[in-house]
Amino acid sequence: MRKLRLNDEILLSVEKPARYIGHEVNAIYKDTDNIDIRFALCFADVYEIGMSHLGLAIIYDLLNKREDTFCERVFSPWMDLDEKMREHKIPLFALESQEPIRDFDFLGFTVQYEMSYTNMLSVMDLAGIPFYSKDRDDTYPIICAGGPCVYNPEPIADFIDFFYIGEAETNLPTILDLYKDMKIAGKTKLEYLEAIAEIDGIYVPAFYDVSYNEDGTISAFLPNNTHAKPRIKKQILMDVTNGSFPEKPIVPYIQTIHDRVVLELFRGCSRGCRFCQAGMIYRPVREKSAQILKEQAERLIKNTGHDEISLISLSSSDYGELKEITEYLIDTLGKEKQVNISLPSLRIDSFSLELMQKVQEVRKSSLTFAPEAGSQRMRDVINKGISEKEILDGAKAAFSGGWNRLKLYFMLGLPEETMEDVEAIADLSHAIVEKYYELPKEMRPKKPSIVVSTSFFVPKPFTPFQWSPQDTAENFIMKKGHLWRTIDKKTIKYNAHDAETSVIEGVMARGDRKLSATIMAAYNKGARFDSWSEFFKYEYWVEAFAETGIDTNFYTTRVRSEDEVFPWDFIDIGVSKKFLYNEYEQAKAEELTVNCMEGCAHCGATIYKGGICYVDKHGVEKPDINTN
Amino acid sequence: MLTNTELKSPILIRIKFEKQGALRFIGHLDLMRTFQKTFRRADIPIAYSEGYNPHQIFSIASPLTLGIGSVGEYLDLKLKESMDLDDLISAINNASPEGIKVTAAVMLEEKAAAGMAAVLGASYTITGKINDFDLDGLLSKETITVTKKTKKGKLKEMDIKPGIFGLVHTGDGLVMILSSGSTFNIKPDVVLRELCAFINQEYNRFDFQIMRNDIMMGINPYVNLVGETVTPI
Repeated sequence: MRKLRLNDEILLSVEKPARYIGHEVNAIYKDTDNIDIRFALCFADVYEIGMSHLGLAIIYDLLNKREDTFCERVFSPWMDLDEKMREHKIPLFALESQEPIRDFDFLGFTVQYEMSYTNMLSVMDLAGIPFYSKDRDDTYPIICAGGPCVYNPEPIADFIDFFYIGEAETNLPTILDLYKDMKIAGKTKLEYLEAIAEIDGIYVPAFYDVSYNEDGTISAFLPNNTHAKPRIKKQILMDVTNGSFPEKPIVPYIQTIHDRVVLELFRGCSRGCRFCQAGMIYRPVREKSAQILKEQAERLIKNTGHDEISLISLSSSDYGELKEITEYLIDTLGKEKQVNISLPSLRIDSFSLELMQKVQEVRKSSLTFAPEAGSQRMRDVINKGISEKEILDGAKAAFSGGWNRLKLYFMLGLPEETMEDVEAIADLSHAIVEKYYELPKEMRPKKPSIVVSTSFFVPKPFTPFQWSPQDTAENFIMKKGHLWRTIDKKTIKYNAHDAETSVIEGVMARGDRKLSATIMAAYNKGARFDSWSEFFKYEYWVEAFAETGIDTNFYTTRVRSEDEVFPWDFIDIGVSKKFLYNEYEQAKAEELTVNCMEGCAHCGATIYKGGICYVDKHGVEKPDINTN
Repeated sequence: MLTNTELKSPILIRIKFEKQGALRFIGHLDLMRTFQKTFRRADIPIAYSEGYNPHQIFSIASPLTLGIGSVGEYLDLKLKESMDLDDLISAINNASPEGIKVTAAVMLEEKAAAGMAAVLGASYTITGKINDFDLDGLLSKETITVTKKTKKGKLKEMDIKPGIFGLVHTGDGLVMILSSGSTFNIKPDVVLRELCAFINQEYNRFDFQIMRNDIMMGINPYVNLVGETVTPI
């Protein structure tokens, strides 16, 4: 029996001790005497969240396929254990070997949301690793980070030795190869960082100097090391069909957020919604072949014993062979092995309802609609590309199909929003409820359950709205109150996000390097698990902003000029800044832009020489893109 | 009990398994989920319930307290087609996480399956700070009264002496046979607390390691130790 880092007394005094013991089916164990690189892969949140993240599973599998590397998982200990580890001075350990991560070669974070920044510091603190890169000598692990948040790495620049911009499959193996060679040759950390700074996708923040204008905006962002590239090119895997995929994912003992196996239909999204960062940074769309998905589905079920498989993407209705693969899975895994198929992220129309009907047969779960905005005008501003008629037809079809639980998602505070647009959220919701009562009486045995949720819009880097002022917290609260008063609460349940969290998220999303000190100050006051409402304390942040001289409005509500140098401008995602600005203007003019399936809007992603820019959704090669 | 050749439909099987090491920290519901997935990985032809939401038909006897290991746990399952018992054991073991190990399997007559509800006792081996315990001294008391919290949160006094079927030092440690099951359930740590109090030893649960040896479906309380007991297999 392998050892456990925590003794029985501690394990039995915390909630869900199974979070900390490892030993799951398909977890990888290696003889640490026979490997060269020890990699601690961290999702800085609680186990159940981190274990539901496909990206983590992909990297875990990718690195452990290497004989020279042992990649282990690290999650944030929940608050109860966090306190005990501090009290008993127990160093943070990786789940597999249960050994302290302080002694590893790498600590790599996957950074999925801004509100986890303090948890990253907490992980370093518990591990006994100094926070700032400049304070860590060569005996400490090299700290790296990737994931969607690092498309603006600047707020956490002071803590991280290097960032990996893009998908791990392309160059992460290269930088590990180099590490092994240089470690054997006795090179220093600085020499190593200089070597990898020359590899595409790698950003070493210490190799750049930022200077500022009097108004606080950036005047120059320049390399101070000859090895550093002036621009960092996003890395993406072009052949997703044949890319490395974890066919034996770890099977947690405890229930995680997504307690099932997942398959990616494609990466990227062709829709071009203007608020959506994922839709821009993962361009171009790259589809995985249906044939390989079928084979992997079968192996995933066989290897894990899960009874549910989820086909995921940013917009699954756009997958060319969706019907075919769904029917195949129902006929094989569904009928023979009692496996449920789940299809999230579908556009609600008769086509997808028919598919869902087949998948679920009798059991009706709730359906989720994401109109994002209430008025047609606002949906055009954000380039949502869906009409009110399509939404109402979808609702009607859903009700006729026997669904009577609908969840509706909207955003408040979108650019150009007026109070009429806020009221339109209530109007659209009411119109949806009416569709239910238009059904003949015998088709509606009970009252419908309609839940409207609103989040506050936070402008993100690399979207057309990166120039847009974020709405003020006061406006958020006022709009939320107005909607609450307008919505008919007899038929609709209304939930709204917290405005204060959105302010912090907004500061971090478009923040610069000065914020490293703020995050540090907030952490020192006690900020941790900021994405958890039970732990989030706005006061910590208010004090931290004051102490570090940060005016939140500079980052959130300020109007930015077209030619402003953004902290993230040195990253090249393929989509040009010119295209994004043009889209911003189109938004203000309430003009729609074609999506990648209908035509090319010339965003710039063709430089990746593949994906939907060259092949349509049925795998047919398009005529030369430049003649379009 | 039926032999392998006397198959009937449906096929009911009882397996005995160990739950040790890190798996001690997996709770009862998570253990159920772990078996569901293990059976699927092992391709066991397990029967599913009817209805809209079919689930595998199996049940585990007498949930084990978190943190306690066991070499004598039992699970009854229903198969939709026959399977050689040795093959069943090795298939499950090959698909199980480290810490779960099936050690025996038998075929049951249908009515025997209900026997899981008839669990009456459990035997435990305790190691650790046990050397000074005065077993006879504690047992010579007329009553051994403990205060127990009821489900409603009220404190209730209760005599546990009738539920202590056996208490003896062995080469492996202190063996306890205690009443178990839905009507009169005594946990080993309650007895340990009383043993400590009797000799004025400060009680700390973590001075002891507790292992469940087996559970018993029939027990004669007047026999001092492993006498008239019937284990599920």
